[in-house]
Amino acid sequence: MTKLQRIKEIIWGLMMILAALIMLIVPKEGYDFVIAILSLVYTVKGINTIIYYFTMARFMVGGKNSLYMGIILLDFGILTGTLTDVPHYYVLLYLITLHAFSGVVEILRSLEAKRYGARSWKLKMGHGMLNFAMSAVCIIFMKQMPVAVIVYATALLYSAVLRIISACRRTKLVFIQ
Amino acid sequence: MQEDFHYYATYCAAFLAGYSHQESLQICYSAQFVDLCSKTLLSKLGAPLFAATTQLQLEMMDARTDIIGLQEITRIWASFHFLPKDLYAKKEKRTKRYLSKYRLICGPNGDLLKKTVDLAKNKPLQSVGIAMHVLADTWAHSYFAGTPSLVINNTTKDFYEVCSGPDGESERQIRFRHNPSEPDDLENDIFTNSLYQRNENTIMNLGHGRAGHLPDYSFITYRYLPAWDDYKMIEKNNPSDYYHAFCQMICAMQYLRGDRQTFETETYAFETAAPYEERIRDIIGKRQLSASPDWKRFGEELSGEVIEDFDLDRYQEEYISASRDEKKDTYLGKFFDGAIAHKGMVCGNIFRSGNMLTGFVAV
Amino acid sequence: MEKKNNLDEINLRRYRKNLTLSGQGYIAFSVWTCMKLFMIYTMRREDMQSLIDAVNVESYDEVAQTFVFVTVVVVLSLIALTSVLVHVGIGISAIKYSCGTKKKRGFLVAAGFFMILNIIGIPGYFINPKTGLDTIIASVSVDLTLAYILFDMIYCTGKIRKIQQSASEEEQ
Repeated sequence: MTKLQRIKEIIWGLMMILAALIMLIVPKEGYDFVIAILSLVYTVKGINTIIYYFTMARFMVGGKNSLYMGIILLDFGILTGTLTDVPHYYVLLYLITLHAFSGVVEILRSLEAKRYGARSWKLKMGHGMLNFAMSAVCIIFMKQMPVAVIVYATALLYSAVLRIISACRRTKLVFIQ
Repeated sequence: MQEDFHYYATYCAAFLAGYSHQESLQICYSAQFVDLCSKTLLSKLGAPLFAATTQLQLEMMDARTDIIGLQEITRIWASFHFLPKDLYAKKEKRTKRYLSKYRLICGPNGDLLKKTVDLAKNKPLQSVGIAMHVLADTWAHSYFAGTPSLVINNTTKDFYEVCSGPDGESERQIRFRHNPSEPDDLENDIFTNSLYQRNENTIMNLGHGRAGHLPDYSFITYRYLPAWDDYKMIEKNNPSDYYHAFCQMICAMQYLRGDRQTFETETYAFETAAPYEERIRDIIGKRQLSASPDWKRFGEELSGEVIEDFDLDRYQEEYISASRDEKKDTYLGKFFDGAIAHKGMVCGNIFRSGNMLTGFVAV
Repeated sequence: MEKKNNLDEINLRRYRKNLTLSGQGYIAFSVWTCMKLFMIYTMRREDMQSLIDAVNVESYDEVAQTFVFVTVVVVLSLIALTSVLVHVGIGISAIKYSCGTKKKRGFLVAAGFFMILNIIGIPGYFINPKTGLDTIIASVSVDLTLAYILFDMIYCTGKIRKIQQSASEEEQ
């Protein structure tokens, strides 16, 4: 990773931590913030996909798929930003599905790691159970709007910490003797 | 390629090149070990993790696909299983980003192959084994790149097996499913491949995953539409490629033994293999999931000795129990040194060509 | 193998693939447009309110107002659904033609009609805009892409037909 990439990753991680803290401090306003973040994420995803089409996928057999997907994502992202009355159930449903799916994948990976004798299986199992717990919290406290915000903020904090750790990893250098 | 070629066929090629039975065993063990030397195994042995020559399914699932993760994946796969053919290949109207992946497409008889074989000269037999693994894979894994890339490694459903019969050539549609636990159905042309995923850098788009195990079956000739070749169909004649790989291995090992002055690309020891050509082609052309028993029988007939089955644990105790200073003189210690040297050479060349997909390499 | 990779075969593959993608893309956009309408009218207060205001008649009692409102929503939904089905039909026809299972090219007339309609509608976003610039850009991008998809559909169909005709002439 170049120095600039590391700085970018760390700044991005710190911004995510700040966003998560704001959401935790003021959960009601935080809900609109969650929608805004989702809107931004999908808009950026759409733009990235369109850029990917023009720099890479247009040279590929069947690459036009990327252009169409990019435009739809961009439209979805911008539309999400204009919505003023999203029922909080929709956001909770999105979070429940996301965490449940991640939890299943992590637990399957931990079982496979255990089969291979890898030491990391306990950590993976922990991640999987945490994801399931988040899903369960969303379901149990579905009627209370701040739950969506708290769950989302927690996940954002976790991602931010991983990103900062990744940025601080040393880049491999190979020396040929 | 699979154990049948990397272990047993390499043994046969080594013996035909003039190595003794024991030397051939060491070479072929090393060649097969390249497919098993993962970070998981290395951490179990307390060996340098940088000597990894492969990644397990599990490790790949965990691998991050950020820049560091991608470089780590590419360093391993491009060095040992998908040696790039032409690091300076040109293609019109392509962006730099596209070209960096395009130039990692694997193929036989590239400049890096000669460097790979030359690197193993006057080195322990383990280095010879590593070189033979890399050489063989340049034939089997042609047209795919050792880096996750949708735009290079993706394929369509246009996959056909080419069958020769009394009425001439015919095509049979090959069908894919995504069930790794089920073996490939050779009779009905149903094979397992990786799932289609739109993400450019996903592990599913690494190497020949989208073609399943087809490149690793020596008997099959097939046609397919790769993502990178402007709608041209590619015909992959595995029986011919595998025979060329076998004869090129003999040629390379004759050079490494000192029986040839130089090793050049596009040279094959056809004359050495000639007395056994029919037998070899029969083994290669037989429609089966694994040709190990046939290659083993052939090898044992050649040498008159018993070829031990590959045992992953064979040299582990020697390495673990050796002192810190003695580790480099053990079988595995020499393998790790050879792997690190080879990885450094390949990644150095990739870096010097202006391609950052394997990261910064200091020489 | 040479026959597989002569220029006509390569181009035929290219245009067939592009036609399939155009068909799939058009279906995806049609479904998305329908979902978008649903999201706008259920999750944007001002749009829902403007619809309610448009159908409300003050002299009606509450029950009558609700009935009128529901009827309007149902009718609008049916229109949207029909529109989606027409678009999906065009997409499916394009895919079938690229696979060789459909010979008639009537879907191109509808494709041409909708393409012109899309292009004509674009300046309308800039006259008395009711939404922000970002929304206008997104909507214009969608319409331009739709027009491009339909153009690609027509172009590829024409090219496929031309290659097939010249191939059959050569055989004769």
